[in-house]
Order: sequence, then structure tokens, then C-alpha cells
Amino acid sequence: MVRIKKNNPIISFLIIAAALFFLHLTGLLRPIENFLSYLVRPIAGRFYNFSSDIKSSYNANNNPEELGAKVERLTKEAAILTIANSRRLEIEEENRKLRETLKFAGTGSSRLVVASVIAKEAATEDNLGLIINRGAKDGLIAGLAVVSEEGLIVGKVLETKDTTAKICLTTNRNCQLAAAIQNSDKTQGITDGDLGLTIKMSYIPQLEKIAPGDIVITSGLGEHIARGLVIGRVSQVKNESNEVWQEATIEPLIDLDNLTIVSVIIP
Amino acid sequence: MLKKIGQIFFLVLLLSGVAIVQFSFIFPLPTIYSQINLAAIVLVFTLFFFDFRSALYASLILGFWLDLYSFNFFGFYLFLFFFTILLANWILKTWLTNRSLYSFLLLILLAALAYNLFSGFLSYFSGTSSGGFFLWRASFWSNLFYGALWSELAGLLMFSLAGALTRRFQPFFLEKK
Repeated sequence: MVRIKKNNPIISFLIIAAALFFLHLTGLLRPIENFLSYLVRPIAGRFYNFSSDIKSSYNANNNPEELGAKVERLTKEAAILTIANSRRLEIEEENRKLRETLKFAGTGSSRLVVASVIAKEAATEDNLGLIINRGAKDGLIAGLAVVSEEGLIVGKVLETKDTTAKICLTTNRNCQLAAAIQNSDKTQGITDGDLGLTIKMSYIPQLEKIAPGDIVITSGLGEHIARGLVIGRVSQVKNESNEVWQEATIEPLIDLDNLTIVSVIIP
Repeated sequence: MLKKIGQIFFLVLLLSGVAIVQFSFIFPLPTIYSQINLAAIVLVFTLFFFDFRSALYASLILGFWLDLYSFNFFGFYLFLFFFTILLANWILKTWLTNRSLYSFLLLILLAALAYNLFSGFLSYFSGTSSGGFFLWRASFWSNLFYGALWSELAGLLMFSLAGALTRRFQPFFLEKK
């Protein structure tokens, strides 16, 4: 007969682990979990920011030429965008006046929940999600759009806990968004992350005209994501004559590795 | 009694710090550095220099903290650390005959290998993994390589530090008189 020692550490471990598991499943542990999570959020946020700074300087040191070319391209773009922005402001003002004249009720208001990134799920290919310090208690649900400080969509909420939520980035695999290209054909499709670096838009009919530089936005066909949030810019089009579909590679407009503050749009 | 409570409190605080550093500092680092498994190294250190019981309790604290943060199923890290420590203890008892630096580094290496394999299997069978079986992916092996490399370096550093800080961990020799 197998004799179990009275003070066996394995048995003690399993009993405590089972108790924790049971308390977690029944929700009895939730107040303690929420309290601990709330307690460490500021420290975790600081650690994350520090780590993010290291990552940015590491990336910058590794690609100095690429960085130089990027600065040059962005300077040119900034000039073009300044002109475009002044036109947009004029149109916006005109739109406001027309709405007032027509007594248009508007398209409804959305709420922004600002959040800090406090951790990363794990360092594996499957788990590239980021953890933010807002959760179900703040009104977050799965599928909501996550935008950067600049207002560009960077991902969506995957799962929520009471005080935290897991978000996926647009460059992560299986982070799909209903998208539309701002071209003459108003091409629609689904974007998906590609190796955590770029975004891919597949199954685009051959007849649609897409060109590098076209801006890709959310199409509004996603359940909780409004139309018009900028996803990125088409950098490459894969168009083989013998294929039924063409594929576009989209480059995010900001570096998603350096996200520390994001906002979740609650429609 | 009060001293004992103070010691436990300090250790809980220290292990909680390790868990936070692992989740909020190490995981977001560039890919090759993000494979440093501080939590597993600390557990092997506890097993090697203290005892199996302390290592199990430490894995309970670390596992709980990581499960609190993680969006894997609750108990993912508790089980992961439990199996890793169980295997490391078996290796320590059956294979290794002394407590030298070489033994410590070998134990860390095998624990890193076991941790990655258990983690892959748990993710795969719990359905959190996507994109095929983890063993057929190049990223798994490159992550394992970097994980093992950093763990060895961290182990070397910890062993030296422990030797410098306290006599408890220093090697001793039996001399014939």
C-alpha cells in the first residue's frame, strides 16, 4: 500500500492550487484579484514603459539607414498632410454648418476610454497581445476598437477581465478587421496581421485597382468598430495574372512597438 | 515567530516583484531578450539552494501572480511551474550528485527546456495556440535557444552573486587531517 507522508509538500501544493482554482471559478477570489491587480497597475505600467523605451532604442540602433529614409519620407508627408488638414478643417466647418441648417441629428456619440499598456501576454508567436489597465468595469467588451494617441486604429479588444483587458495589434496574426481601401473602387476586405510586422489584406478581386500609397480604413462592417479609422497605407500589391485574387501589404502609420497609451472606442 | 512572519512577507514581496518584472518588463523586450525566464530561474535557484518545499511554495506565489495577469486559463502558470519544479527536483535527486556551478547550470538548462515544452503542450491542448503544432515551428526552437542561453547567463550571475553575498552557498571541501 502506498503511504502518503503527513506533511508532503506536493499534497500541500495541490490542495492550495485546487482551492485557488475553485475560488477563482466561483468568483470568490475576484475581490482579491481585483485589489491586487489595482495595486500593481502603476508599478507594472512603469516597468512596461521602461521596457518599451529599451525596445525602441534597440530597434533604432539596429536600423539607422532605414530610420533616416523614414525621417525623409515622413518630412515630405508632413508637408502634404498639413495642406490636406487645412482642407479638411474647411470641409468640417462647412459640414457643421450644413448639419445645423438641416437640423441633422447626427450619427451618435462614442466614448473614449484612455488606458495604459501595462504588460505583454507572453513572448511567443501565439500570444503577442498587450494587457491594458482598463477592463469590463470600465465598459470594455471584446471587439471594440483600440486607437493610438494619434487616433489611428492599432488593434481591438480580445478579452476582458474586471480591471484589465487583452488587446491584439493589427499586425498580430488572427487580429482581423473589416477594412476598406480609399481608392476609386472603394475596395473592401479583411485585414489580418502578418508575422507581427505588417498587415495583410487578402481576397481582393483582380479587377480592383489598388496602388501603393492608398490609405486603408475600417469599413464599419465590424460589429463594434466604426467606419473611417485609419489602419495604414498600402506598401505593396501582389498581383499575379494567373491568380483569382490579389493581395495587399499594409504598413501601419505608427510604430506599434512603442505603444504605451491607447484609447478604446465605446460606440 | 515575528521574524519568521517577516521573512515570509519579504519572500512573498520579492516573488511578486519577480512576477511583475517578468510580465511587464521582460515579455515586452525585443524578441531575443524577451525569452529570459526569470521566474523559472528563481524557482530553480530556490530548489537548488534551499529545498523542494520552498521551491513549490515559491512556484505557487509566482504562478498565482502570472495567472492573475495572464489571459490563459487560470492555473496555466501554476501547473507549468509545478511540473517544471517536479521534473527539476527529480533530475536534482537522481542525476546530479553535487551542488556545483555545473550542476546548477545543467539544471537550469533542463528546466528551461521542460518549461518551454510544457508551455507549448499546455497552450496547444488548451486551444490558445494557433498556426499548427508548436514543435514544427522554427520560432519555437529559436525561442528555446535564446531562452536557454539567457537562462544560463542569468544562472551564472545568480550563482556568483549568491556565493559573494553569503557563505551558505559557497562550496566547501572536506580535508583529511
